[in-house]
Amino acid sequence: MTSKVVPLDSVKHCDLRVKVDRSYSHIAQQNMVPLMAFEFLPASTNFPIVFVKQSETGKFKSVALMGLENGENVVFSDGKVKTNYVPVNIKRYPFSAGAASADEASMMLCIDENSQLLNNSEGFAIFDEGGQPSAETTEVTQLLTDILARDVASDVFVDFLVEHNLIEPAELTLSLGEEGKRKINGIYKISEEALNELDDDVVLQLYHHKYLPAIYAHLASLGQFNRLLQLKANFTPS
Amino acid sequence: MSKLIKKIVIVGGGTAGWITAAMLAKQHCRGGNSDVSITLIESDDIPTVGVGEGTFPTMRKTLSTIGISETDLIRRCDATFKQGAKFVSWRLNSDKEFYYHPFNVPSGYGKFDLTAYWQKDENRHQYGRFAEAVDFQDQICEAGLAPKKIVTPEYQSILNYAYHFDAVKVAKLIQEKAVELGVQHVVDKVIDVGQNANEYIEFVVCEKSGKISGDFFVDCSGFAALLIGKTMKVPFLPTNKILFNDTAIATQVPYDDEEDIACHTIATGKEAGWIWDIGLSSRKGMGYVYSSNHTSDENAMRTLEQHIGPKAKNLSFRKIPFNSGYREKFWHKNCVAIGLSAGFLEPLEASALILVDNSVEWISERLPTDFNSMEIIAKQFNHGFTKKWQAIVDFLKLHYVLTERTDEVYWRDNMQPESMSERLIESLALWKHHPPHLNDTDAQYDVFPIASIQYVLYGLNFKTDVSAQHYLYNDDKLAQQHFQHNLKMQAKIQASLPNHRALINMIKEHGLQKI
Ligand SMILES: Cc1cc2nc3c(=O)[nH]c(=O)nc-3n(C[C@H](O)[C@H](O)[C@H](O)COP(=O)(O)OP(=O)(O)OC[C@H]3O[C@@H](n4cnc5c(N)ncnc54)[C@H](O)[C@@H]3O)c2cc1C
Repeated sequence: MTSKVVPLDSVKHCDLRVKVDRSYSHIAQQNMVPLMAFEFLPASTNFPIVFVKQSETGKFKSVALMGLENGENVVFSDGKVKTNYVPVNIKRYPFSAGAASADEASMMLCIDENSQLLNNSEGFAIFDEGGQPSAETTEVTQLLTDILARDVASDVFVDFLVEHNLIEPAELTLSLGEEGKRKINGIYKISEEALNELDDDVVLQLYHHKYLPAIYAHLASLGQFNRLLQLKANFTPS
Repeated sequence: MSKLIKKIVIVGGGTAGWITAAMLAKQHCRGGNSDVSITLIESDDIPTVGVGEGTFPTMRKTLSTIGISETDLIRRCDATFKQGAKFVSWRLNSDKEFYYHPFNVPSGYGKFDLTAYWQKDENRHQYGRFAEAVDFQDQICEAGLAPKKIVTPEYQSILNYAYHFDAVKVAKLIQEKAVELGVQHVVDKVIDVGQNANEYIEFVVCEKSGKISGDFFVDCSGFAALLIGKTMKVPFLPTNKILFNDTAIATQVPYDDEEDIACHTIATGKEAGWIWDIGLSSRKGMGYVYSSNHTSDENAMRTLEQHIGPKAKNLSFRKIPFNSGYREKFWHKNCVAIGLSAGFLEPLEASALILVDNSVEWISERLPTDFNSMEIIAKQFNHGFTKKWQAIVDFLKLHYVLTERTDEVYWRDNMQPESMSERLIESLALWKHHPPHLNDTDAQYDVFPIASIQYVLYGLNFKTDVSAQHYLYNDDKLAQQHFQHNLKMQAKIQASLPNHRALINMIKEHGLQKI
């Protein structure tokens, strides 16, 4: 079902409860999820981290790959979680942060009304009896406020990479056993060559902005393509 | 070795001058690490011609080589994408009659010739107009879609394209880049030219700056042709016996709110010429190009106003007379003419800027090291460019000769064999029984490929009767595959491309990526 993200409304949504699903099955049909720069380190031992262009703006966004084809997720599937790190953008579901208005920085809590997790009986209540956000909701709000700032910081990081011509198309050819080889298009990575040729002052900026760990975590994470291939080999699409 | 060529002086700062300056600087100044210097002199009281808004895909290579960002071009020069030209009312005097000359080449181009197959009745019936049968860009233009997406990197395409842009703003943008690349910019008026005993130019004299000397001079002074014409007296070869048009009335027309931006130039045939309609992002450029022997200025004005409709009331119009033709030589001694100084033919296929692109590319690749090699290179250049101009004259004429508007004097005159070159008459005779072939043109000097000739020829319903050699065209299965492939591609691509105006707006907001 397509999602329907709307601002949370204490009247309309007063009776709603959120089931807690630690298998994150909502993501099972999705092969990538936005990953923020601060997550690169913990995510790098689990997923390939790459850059893709957003279809609406053409701008690069960093993502964690969880499958090698559209609609395929070999990490979160069959009710199992084959990772020890769950990206924030998966955890927060069905909540998300929306900007209250284009020119305002304040965050508005939103919810996917079509989420399977919403119901009237199971899980935690979104609003308490008095119509105030529940403790869990307050916690999510805090998490999302945090994300919003970190998401902006992540975009600044990616812009820095683009500006210094550090991003290049990742030419990936995967050997898929009997299916033969397949080329994956549309994903980008940091160019080690360009990185090694940076001017000293840019290198110093990378250091001061604390971008170096994310850069090397990304490069190391490319080894995880093999892990996706292994998972895929043992994977039967549901 | 004779005297070395180190100091290049360009006179004129229109589109031609600045493209020349930037390209030469890019190749030869190498970020200041060479002893070649480039000076561009332009007068601030002689305006540039100010028109020249339609281009050809060669412009993409030129701009990217210079190092202009495509995003800047779109944001700062009101540029839009151009996927070809739509010719309306050329064959018949009806606004329903049209054909496309798209920039994509026909499916199978150079390997499998679809033209003979398209002429079979059943295929024409099933697959429609030539351009829509052999390619899908025609349909993409009709649907008002862009040739690429926001995720497509700068200068890369899904469908082949060029630009429509504001010529004055483009000259400014390229100027910035050229100066950054090391071009010395002198704002002054050239009032005299000094030559040595062998008629080589030694220096120009400017009103304020005095003498500026050089080893090699590029005449980009526009219609004034200050060096190649006024100084060196290289004869001008008129082509007005073939291409009759000699006057343009140009204007700028505002859009209605959110009106679609055409992704192609629209050229509409009229009583004594044709009207161009070029959609920039901020406004449309429009103008009537006509033959003053076939209509009066008043009638021409009325024709243009009628075409524009009610909006014409508040517009200002500019009349630009021109001589159709080109120089007997473009490179004489140590002076080469690029742009309008070299010649001008009516702006029907944006050939002027293609020749600027071609000339600059040639000269920057073959910049003579010394005066001995200059003579040899000049000879090659003149030979090559004379061929190019001749080919363009024939190609432009081709747009007229197949018309069926026989009740109008202008069009009838255009059909007279006396108004055609020998070569065009021969080609038309050949094509009656042989589809145009890559060998028909001197490919080395091609400006418009055979694909362009095919689009015009068959867009105008030309018949090539191949019955005598029908056995050469019996691979109907493969032909069907090509026709079907086009249909499939069209459906697929049409569903994925954004509306042209929408893409321009997206680029203005987000920019295009470099990769
Ligand atoms: C009606 C019309 C429509 C056109 N449409 C198209 C089109 O759609 N596509 C296309 O490709 N082309 C088109 N062209 C041609 C195109 O406009 C020109 O090829 C292009 O603009 C290049 O012009 P230019 O730089 O040679 O000359 P100009 O723009 O005229 O520049 C001449 C320069 O020389 C300088 N100059 C002149 N005399 C002196 C002096 N004594 N001292 C110092 N400086 C001097 C001027 O200051 C100016 O900077 C069109 C032309 C016309 C007339």
